[in-house]
Amino acid sequence: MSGASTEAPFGERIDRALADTGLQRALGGTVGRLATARRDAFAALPEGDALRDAARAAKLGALASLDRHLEALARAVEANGGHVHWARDAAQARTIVIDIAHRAGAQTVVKSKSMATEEIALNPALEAAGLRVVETDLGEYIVQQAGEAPSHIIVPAIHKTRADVTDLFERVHGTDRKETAEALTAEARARLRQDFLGAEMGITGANFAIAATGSLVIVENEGNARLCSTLPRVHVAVMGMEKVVPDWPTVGTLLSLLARSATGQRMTSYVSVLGGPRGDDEVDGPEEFHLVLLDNGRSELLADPVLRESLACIRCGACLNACPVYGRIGGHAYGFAVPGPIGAVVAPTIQGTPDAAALPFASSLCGACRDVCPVRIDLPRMLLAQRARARRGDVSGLGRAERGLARMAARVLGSERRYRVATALLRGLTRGLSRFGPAQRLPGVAAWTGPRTLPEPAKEPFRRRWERDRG
Amino acid sequence: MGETRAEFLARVRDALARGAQSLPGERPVSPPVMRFPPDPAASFAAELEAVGGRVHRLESAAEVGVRVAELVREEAAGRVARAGTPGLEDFGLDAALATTPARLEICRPGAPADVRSLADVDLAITAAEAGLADTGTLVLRPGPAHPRALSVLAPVHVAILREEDLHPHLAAFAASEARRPRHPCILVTGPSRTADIEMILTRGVHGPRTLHVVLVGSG
Repeated sequence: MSGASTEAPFGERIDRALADTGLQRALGGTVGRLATARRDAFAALPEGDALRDAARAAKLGALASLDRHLEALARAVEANGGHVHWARDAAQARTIVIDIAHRAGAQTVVKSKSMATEEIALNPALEAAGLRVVETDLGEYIVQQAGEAPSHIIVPAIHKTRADVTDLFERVHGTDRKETAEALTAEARARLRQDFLGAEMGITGANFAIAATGSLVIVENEGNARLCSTLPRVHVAVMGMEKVVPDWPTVGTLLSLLARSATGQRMTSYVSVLGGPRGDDEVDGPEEFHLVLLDNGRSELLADPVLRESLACIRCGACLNACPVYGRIGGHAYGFAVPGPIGAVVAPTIQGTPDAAALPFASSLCGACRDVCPVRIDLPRMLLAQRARARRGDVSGLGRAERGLARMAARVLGSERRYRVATALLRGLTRGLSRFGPAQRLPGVAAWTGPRTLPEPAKEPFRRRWERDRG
Repeated sequence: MGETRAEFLARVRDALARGAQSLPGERPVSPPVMRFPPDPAASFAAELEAVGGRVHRLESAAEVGVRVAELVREEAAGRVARAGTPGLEDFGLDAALATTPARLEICRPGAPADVRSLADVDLAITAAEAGLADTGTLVLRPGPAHPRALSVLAPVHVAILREEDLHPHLAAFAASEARRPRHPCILVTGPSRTADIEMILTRGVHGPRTLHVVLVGSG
């Protein structure tokens, strides 16, 4: 299921999310815990700041020579016996994967968690092509069985309570009710084990790819990515092109930051470093390996001096956990595979719909995201840049009132006399509004004044005090 | 289908050229020198136990067989499989395991692994090529007699690691790996885990629920 569905406009999805008490309850505890775990992990890491500086420089440096690294990666993967495919967009990527599956005679596909495959809406396409697709990450399995999209890039079923999962498994598995997380997990493990053993093809993402060695690096806690990339005869990895890094030392730096930023762990349970198909001296592993490199709008981000650094993202989810907006509306409201601040930055370019263009506006620009980003991406700056691009593209979309206000502001700010008159008027108005409570609920201003406490203006303007005290 | 490599990279190069106009040059920043744990073996044990692994410290290789046999009994393992890696032969495992009720299979080099059979194994024994002291991480190197699937299918994994093979930290391992990269390589830090259901931690999701590391000194 893809997170890119836009059945209702963004504003409506927000309202629905805020009214969803189950979602609010689920988000309330979990996002804060992840944020706290991250903070504690970095408090225990004296080299944290220096690692983040090095990581940012390494990623930006890699992006500056992205073509060279992609070329080196492809050559190394092919030298290891793997195949490399180049997907300009989501449609091409889907066609490539379906073609691989058909030529391999695959009937069942096991998948481990991959935001790139969510972005290209791969699962529905595979199913339409006659394949049975089984998500194997526990959270992804849960949302797949529920017919939903994942709502967080690290904890896909964050919006579901344990009771939700109990009901779901009872309904879709037809087994008796399991009440504990332990029992539910054991049930999922037993069922999915059969799929791992029987599937002809495994699809994973990749956290990084090392250009120097042609290695894929896959980071996880459950072990399902290991199984997806080991047991089936064919392994397909779909990866955003920006994930390629030059060498092992860069991966070392990034790995030191990834788990800490995502969940507060020092290392995840498993990090697989794979060279493609089964080696000559290996006794298991896939016979066939395919790496699908995905552009899908990333080259547009690359071409933009301000937006380019969004490609430094290592998909840790820290910005989601820090964001007060994400923390209230959850992932589904964004309508894009990757939600939160980084999603709001890249979706307008990658998805390109008017709905996606609205995402950067749902932010107070508090900067909490920039504070926690392990590669120090200046997310607020890019949110502003995307807002500017949205407006430049279609000014007719601007309301008449907004355009009128902007013109008036330009005239007032252009003359000192008009400015003084306007501020005197505003003082009086603010004093009136703050003294006369019901005025705050007037239509038109209520959206702004309702949730805010209006300040009482000063008795006299600072300008006058300054002139008097200095004069 | 997809594009050609040339088409794809041409678009990337074009994007780089367009974007480079007002970008400052990227200055590389050296990563910091990471702290060396003063007692690597103790650090390894503490870190791995903190994430739910169990560490058994032994003074010498002579004690390994007996300890592993004890673990096999403790875990009530009926079927045990071990990698056929030459390094494991030194520990006298087979003789020690013969004293337990478990049936032992040894993975032979060259023979394709019978994965369905491995899926029924109760306890898997492998060597660890190396370890990372500051995170309690094992470095597994699947190969001729060490299937990738061996250490992930069984519910209990016993790994034998020599103290002298400990790197201080990931950065040191990365530097070493850069000099001699080999695939595949699996870094294992604790049992399989998830918190996907209401952030409640459960172990043994798809990989092992129990990880024992026998950490062998050079005594």
